[in-house]
Amino acid sequence: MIAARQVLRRLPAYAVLIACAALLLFPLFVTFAYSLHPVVDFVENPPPSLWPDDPQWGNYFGGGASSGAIEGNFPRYLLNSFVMAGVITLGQLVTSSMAAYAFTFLRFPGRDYLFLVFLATMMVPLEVAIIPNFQTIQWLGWTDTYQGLVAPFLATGFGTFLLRQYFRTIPTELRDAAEMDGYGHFRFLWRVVVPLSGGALATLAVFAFIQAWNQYLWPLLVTNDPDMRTVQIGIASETAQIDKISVAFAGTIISFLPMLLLVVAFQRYLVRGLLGGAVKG
Amino acid sequence: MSAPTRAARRLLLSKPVRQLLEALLFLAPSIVLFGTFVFYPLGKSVYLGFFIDNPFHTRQIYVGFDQYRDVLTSTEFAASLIVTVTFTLYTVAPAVVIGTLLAVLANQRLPGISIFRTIFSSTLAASVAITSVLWLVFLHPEIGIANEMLNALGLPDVGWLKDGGWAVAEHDSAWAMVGAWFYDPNWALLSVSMATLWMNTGLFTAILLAGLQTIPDELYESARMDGAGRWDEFRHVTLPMLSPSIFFASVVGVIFAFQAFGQFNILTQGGPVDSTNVVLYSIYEEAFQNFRVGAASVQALALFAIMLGLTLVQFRLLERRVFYR
Repeated sequence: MIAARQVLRRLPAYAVLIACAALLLFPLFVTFAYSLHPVVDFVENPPPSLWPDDPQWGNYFGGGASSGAIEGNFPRYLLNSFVMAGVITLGQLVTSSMAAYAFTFLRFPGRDYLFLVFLATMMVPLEVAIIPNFQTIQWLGWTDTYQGLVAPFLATGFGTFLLRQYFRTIPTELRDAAEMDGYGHFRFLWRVVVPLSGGALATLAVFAFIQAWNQYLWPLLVTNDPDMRTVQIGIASETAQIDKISVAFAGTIISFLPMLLLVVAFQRYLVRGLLGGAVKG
Repeated sequence: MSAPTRAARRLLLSKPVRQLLEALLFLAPSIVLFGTFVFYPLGKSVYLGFFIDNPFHTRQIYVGFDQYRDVLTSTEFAASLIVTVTFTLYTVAPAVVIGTLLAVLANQRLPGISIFRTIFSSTLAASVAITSVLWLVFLHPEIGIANEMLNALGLPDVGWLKDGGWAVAEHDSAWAMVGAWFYDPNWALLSVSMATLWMNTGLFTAILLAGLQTIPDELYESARMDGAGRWDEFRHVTLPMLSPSIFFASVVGVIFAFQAFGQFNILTQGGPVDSTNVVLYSIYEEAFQNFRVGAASVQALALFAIMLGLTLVQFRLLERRVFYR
């Protein structure tokens, strides 16, 4: 009785929550519905009815009249995005943990000034440097290559800052003890500091991966070859063609799912990254 | 390394120099990358701004600061700034309201509330490309359903993505242009803003939820003991305690708005007639379509100056957050 009454009392609260969720997810639902239409529905007498009379799962998995999203260009786009985001993430983890190590555990002249220079890089967004960077990549002959896609993003002032914040909580006695055991700096970093900093490294990794995966402007500039397109450029170019549009919608849904899962699973890290690593818990 | 050379090195290099070399071993990768892709481009942009191309792009002509003056005082640049600031307003102000509302709703103590927390923050996962495509289903001139939805409510059609409104019409002055916001809406810009707002909703909700969770329960308890109702609680406890997070989220939102590119590229290509030509899009067009690299560089430096100011504000806020903890 009591339980039932409590549920009843909460009913309005749930109704509001569900209504908000439905509104927010509505664009996703319409895109999903559109992805199940045959292309003729968009060409003849558009816009089509919301839900198709005969859902075309072939738009996803193929086997229908036209090839599905998983057979067409999308696997290649997804692979390119995965390689690009993976290499950028790995690169940032390596360069920032090395730099953060030097700023935490090494003493050298000009350390604080150099750290300020690293922080200053955070104030130069890529968007304002695209023209010279594009010229550099062209000069290196790296257009339409993975090197060209990743090179400008392999180092990060933000990541160095984030990891340094964390490394500073590691007691210096540990370094002294490791030195007595004959550990050099690289071995200490790899065997002691890195294993102790899982949470901070995960924050940086999730943040770097999602940012890299979602990039648009740079991949648009440095790739022309359809085989080198990332998934973001891929969906943009595929949805521009009306004769393939339902497959493009299916590809959009497929490309959104991995990021959605990642954000749901690691949301805490992502928010922590956004707040500069300042939020606990 | 053999013993004598090592000894010789010890003799030659003083301790600070040895320390510096050791540190450089760790810092070199970052320093090389920053030098190449952050600091060199800034200098190069300043340099490029001194030159214009001749009409056939065969020769660069040195014009010094003239190009800086011409570009920065041009009406086109002023127009793209106005469009950018309007876009910022359209995407940040509503996101503050919606984000606060959703965060407060998702912060209730209810069974299963974590599902709603996840859903409300989920649009954070959407890239600009995904977001643009999701909104094409409403805004596309042929296949979009936004006008059907308006008609169902008894409202007339709207020129989504196609009607530049005040940004296209002729105006006697900048004031007249701003005045026209209210009777001649720039539907193209509003369309792109709506899509961006949807993406921002998740971002704002996530940041504000994190902010809400730092408010101590005791504050609510003592408010209740003073006989405060729900609305009093919200006004006198939640809102003041949340305001640093709201301010922080807004600064992030403004920075994102100035960096926005993909949604314009996919949905409007800056048009119709520059009505959605934000600063970054006009940099892209000038540099990569009109090949006026010098003029584009000047605009990029102006964008840099704006973003520099915004980032400094953001840092201040972060510093305060860390400080108060």
